[in-house]
Amino acid sequence: MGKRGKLHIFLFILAGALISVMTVFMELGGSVNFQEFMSAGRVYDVEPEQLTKSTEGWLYDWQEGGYFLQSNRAFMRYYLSSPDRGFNYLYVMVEELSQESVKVVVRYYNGYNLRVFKEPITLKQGMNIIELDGRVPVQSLVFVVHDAKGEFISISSIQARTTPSRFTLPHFLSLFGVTLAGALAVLLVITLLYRFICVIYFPEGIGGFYWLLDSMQDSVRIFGDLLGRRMGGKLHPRQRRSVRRFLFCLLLAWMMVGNVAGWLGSAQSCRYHLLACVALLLAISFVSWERPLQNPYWRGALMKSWLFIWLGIVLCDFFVVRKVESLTGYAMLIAGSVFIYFWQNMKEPGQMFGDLLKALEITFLLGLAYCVLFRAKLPAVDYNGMFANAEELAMYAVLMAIVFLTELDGAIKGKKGFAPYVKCISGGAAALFLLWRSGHKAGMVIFALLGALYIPILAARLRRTARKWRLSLQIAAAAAFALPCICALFLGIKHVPQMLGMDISYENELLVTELEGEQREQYLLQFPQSLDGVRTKEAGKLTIIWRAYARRLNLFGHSGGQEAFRRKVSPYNGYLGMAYQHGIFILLPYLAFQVLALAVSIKCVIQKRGSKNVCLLFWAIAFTCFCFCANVEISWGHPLWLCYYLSAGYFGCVEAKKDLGKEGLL
Amino acid sequence: MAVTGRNLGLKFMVGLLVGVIFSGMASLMILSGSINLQKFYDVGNIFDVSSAEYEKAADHWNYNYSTKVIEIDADTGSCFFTMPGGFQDWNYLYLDLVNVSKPAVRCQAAFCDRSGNVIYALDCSLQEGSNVLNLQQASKDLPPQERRINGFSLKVEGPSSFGISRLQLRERQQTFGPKEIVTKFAAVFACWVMILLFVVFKVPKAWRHKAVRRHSWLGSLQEAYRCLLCNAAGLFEEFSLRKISFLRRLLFLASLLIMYIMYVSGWRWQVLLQRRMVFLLGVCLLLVAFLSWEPQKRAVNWKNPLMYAWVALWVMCIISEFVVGKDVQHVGVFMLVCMGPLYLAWANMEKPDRLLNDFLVAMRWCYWLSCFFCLFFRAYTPGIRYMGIYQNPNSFAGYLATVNIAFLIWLDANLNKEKLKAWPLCKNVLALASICGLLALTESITSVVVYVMECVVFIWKQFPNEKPRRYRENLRAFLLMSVLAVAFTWVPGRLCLEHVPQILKTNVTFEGDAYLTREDPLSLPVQAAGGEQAGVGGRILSKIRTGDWDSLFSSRTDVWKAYFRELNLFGHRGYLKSLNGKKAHAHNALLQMMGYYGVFVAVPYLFLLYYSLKYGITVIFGQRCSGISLFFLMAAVNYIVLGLTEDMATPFFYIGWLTFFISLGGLTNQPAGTNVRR
Repeated sequence: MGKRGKLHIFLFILAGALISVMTVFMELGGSVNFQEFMSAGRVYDVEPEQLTKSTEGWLYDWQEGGYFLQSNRAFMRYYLSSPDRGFNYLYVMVEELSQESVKVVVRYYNGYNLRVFKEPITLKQGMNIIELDGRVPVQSLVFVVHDAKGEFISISSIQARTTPSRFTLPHFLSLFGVTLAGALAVLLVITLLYRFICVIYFPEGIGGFYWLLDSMQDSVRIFGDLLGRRMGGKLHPRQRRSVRRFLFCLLLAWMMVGNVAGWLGSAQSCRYHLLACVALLLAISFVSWERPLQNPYWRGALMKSWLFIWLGIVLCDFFVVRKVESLTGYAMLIAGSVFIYFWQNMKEPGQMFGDLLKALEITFLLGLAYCVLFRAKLPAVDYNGMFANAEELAMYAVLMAIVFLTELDGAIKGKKGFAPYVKCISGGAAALFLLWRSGHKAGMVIFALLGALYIPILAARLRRTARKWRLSLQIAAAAAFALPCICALFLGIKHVPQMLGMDISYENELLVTELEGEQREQYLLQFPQSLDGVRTKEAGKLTIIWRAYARRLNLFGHSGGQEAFRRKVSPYNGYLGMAYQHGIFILLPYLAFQVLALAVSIKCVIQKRGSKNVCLLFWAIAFTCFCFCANVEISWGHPLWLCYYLSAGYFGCVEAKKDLGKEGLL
Repeated sequence: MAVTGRNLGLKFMVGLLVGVIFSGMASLMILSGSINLQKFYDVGNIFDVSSAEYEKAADHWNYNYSTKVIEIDADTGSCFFTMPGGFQDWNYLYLDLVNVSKPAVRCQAAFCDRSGNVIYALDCSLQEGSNVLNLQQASKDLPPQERRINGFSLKVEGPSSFGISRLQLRERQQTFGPKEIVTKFAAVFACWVMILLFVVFKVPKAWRHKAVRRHSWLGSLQEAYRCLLCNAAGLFEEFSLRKISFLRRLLFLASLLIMYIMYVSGWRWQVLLQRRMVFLLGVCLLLVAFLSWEPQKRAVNWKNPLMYAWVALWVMCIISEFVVGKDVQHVGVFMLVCMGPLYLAWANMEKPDRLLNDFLVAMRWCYWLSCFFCLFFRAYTPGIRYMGIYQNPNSFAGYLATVNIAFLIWLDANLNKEKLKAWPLCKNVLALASICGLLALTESITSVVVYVMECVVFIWKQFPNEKPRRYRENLRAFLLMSVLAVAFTWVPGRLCLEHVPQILKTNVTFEGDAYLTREDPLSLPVQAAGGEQAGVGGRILSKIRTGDWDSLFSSRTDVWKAYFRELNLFGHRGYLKSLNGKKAHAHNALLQMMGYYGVFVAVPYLFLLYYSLKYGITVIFGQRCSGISLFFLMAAVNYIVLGLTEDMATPFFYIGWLTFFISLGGLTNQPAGTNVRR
């Protein structure tokens, strides 16, 4: 396994697992289909909210979690697809039924609300698989229950599909276990064969594709020197830092503007948005030119995995026609590589990092001002802040909380007086306040986790310092100062925009509320129409959304998002999102990068290589955690995304030193 | 290139050319009254009825080809004109008449819907000169969606005669004519020239020269290529020269086949397949570059206008593609990433002729393969223009004219040989004769012109020097062989071409074979079959006799007009709607390039063409002249002349296109330390 045995084992197992997932999905789908492993056909899941709404005949009881039928002809309509589509199977999961069975007439309605067909069925407790007439295109189904007044029925899921579902978790797991073993065995044989061939025919080793990597680096070096000399070379180091901060601020602000304006979604505007981002990132790189460039070490696992993520995205262009997705890959491959190259060529890479943090702070301050002036908090609705949805605000708040934690860490170490504490604690408190107002529970949990991790680091710092009491006093005073700031912010975002009449709402804004079911109904009784256009949180629907994405996994990805509940939904999972957009095997470099970023940053923190490592570690943890439950892959639209991927530049420095040291080059 | 007084003329020419384009663009926008960079000539929709439409015989409507007038030989004569549907706001009908036999001719124009029902009609009196029929008034009672017309008929009072110089439907009224355009153009251009002169004479030299430092860019580009080639050269370090040569030939052959397959299979229009094929083509060329890389053998000098034009052209293509997506993608990137390293590797070779020779061998191999394919799978049907390995006789003719270069160059390189072997000579002569024969069967006038020009260039190269005795002997042998080969290919060869696929029942047809569709007047596939003037000679004669441009260029003038009207700043996605509302290529390389990539691409493109010709001629008489140096000029002539009336600009489709851009590789590289040729 060589120098990176653990990583190779990890990748080996991961590759085996991905192959197994692919094989099992194809087995379940009943065909070898690389365009869609599952070959699931059309599938529509009825939205959980539809399963709890009440009609004249079906009265939903929130305590019992089911319906009491109110009349002898009780109607309930379920909307399926738009436009009209035919479905062959209907899966109805009945959790509870007061009778042994209930007779239901299913009526098919088309888009003009005309009844096109009807058929009688019998529902029993458990999973009911009903064969529908697939030749009849429908838009909605109406369940009519006859002669069952007073009876109770609880339905937990309804799914319409064109092909039968063969997926059950135990079945999947049993198949997965077997195929994983097989895939690992095959991979092992291939690896051994490869090594055997290498030993016999290429005793000096195969160059592989390093020539391509070297050529890429050489190109960056040549053009970087040409432009860098004319930009960064003409600036004083202080000017360089100021310009860099300004450009970072511009870049971050531009990304957020592009995100909220919805430019990321349309092919035409996205390319111009990305062009501006690329230009800014390249400008930052060229401004950072200090001396003639030298090729940094990019043969380490971390940089390779970073490059393979973008190369993998670009490669999909040969197999899928996509409008937007591959552009992000091209942009990062070009601008990101150049940026990292320049970063790794700096005498003090920490300066670049410091400038990034400073730019984040400045944009955060501007963002807060913007929120206070233009973005009011609506009652009972999660706050979106400067973003179009609360989740993005939560991610941003966590990012900023980490930044201020790092600043605090630096301040404790640096003996810089009282002002830095005020700035860090007030900023951190503002970030936490935004996190709280966003109502994003996962974000809060992630921050709590990071806070818990920071406590031992803080304790260690305090233990080492001689001025514990003074420090504690300063922190307490700063916290006392932060409290009115937060109160002002609280009042500000609640009243100022409305008072000034400057409240702004975005076109693509997603308003969500914590209130569900009965609570929502009661709230609406008090404040009618106040929740128009406000959705309940997707947390309860995540499994359905994830299944909708998993069903469509394939080898080279898709263009656009997946539909569920008659609308486009985001995957709410970074891994699923990446696998869906760019093919299942993109997860190999993606996961490898995450693991390596975590490993390198942990190592840095343990080895006490500067307080900025804490920030990198926390970014890595936050991003990885958000990957499980949020739409973290907002390419060129969110500061967390940018900071995480650009941090490869700093990680790369550390890795390069390590690897070069191992190879005896340092 | 040092900034000296010597290249001032070149810069001035660039300035003038930019000025011409800019003035044209500005004058059109001023006259049309809108600043529309998407369409400079923004005067609403225009539909020109092709002259072929009213030259056809209809109900007492006869076209007299000798007097070029329409004769109505009864009380009334009418003709129906079809037009593409989909647009409803045709508001004016322009009918320019000449040689009208009466002072006024009564006419009824009836406009029909898709089913042929008359929606509305208009009575008018036609006179000599321009007649404008206002359709807006006639159709004002109709709801907008019912105004969509799919054809119209003209019913003219007889007996009478008249000639039509324009029959055009317009959305908006014509508010200016050629005279206004010329005036505005002259005014804007004069301003431009004054600014240019001011810049040349008044702006301090230091300012001008500081602004752009192209050398460092080109030097960096070359350095980047050098690094790529050095890094990749290790892959083929241990290959022998012979092996390298063979691999190179195979790779060139693969490139030619990829382009052919992409064209014939229709994959060129399927985005994913196109991307893959272009990727493969790029890999082939890059591998050739890696195989040919001989580090530090020669220093190369790219500081010449041809290379500047080449880089500028592809950078502009990349910008255009970024702004407006293209049906045929990534040509700029392809050229800069794949063709650039090939140029550098070629220039670095100790014997650059080797690479060129391998390319020519690959072309010859390709031709033999296509001969085999034609003989066994593509039967010739008398009366129908032969399409060979393509779906269109013009494309096949273009291919033949291109491969002809490879055989002519072989001849040029070998006529001076001491002992010219019989078999290669026989093979070569047979190929030349068969190319000539196949070209005659295609009846493509443009390609015949190209063929003739190639032969002229070849003969021109033979004359200036005094030839030794062995040359004359070889020439005699060649001429003798030629007579035999012509006899062999034109009689038994043609018979085989007609009958072998039928006998073996192996005849294949491609989807979109031109004789199957027959709708495209530009291909004129069946005209050749008609009557006494069959054959390419007959076609040329008939075109010359008619004496009008439309007929001479087979209605290409209409296509050119349509392309001119649609010119804009960043180009269009693909082919534009032109003849009869159908999408077609521009039938002109320059127009096609301007249509694809915007008007300003014409500047580097024209310079590229000019310098390819100029350097091509220089190379023949230069110190580095070798047996195959004729290739560069021939490739340029082939590309330019074919490009006058055919589509040579659409990337990746035509072998002539690849040949031309490979030939540039031998011209862009100038030995270091020499004076830059301008």
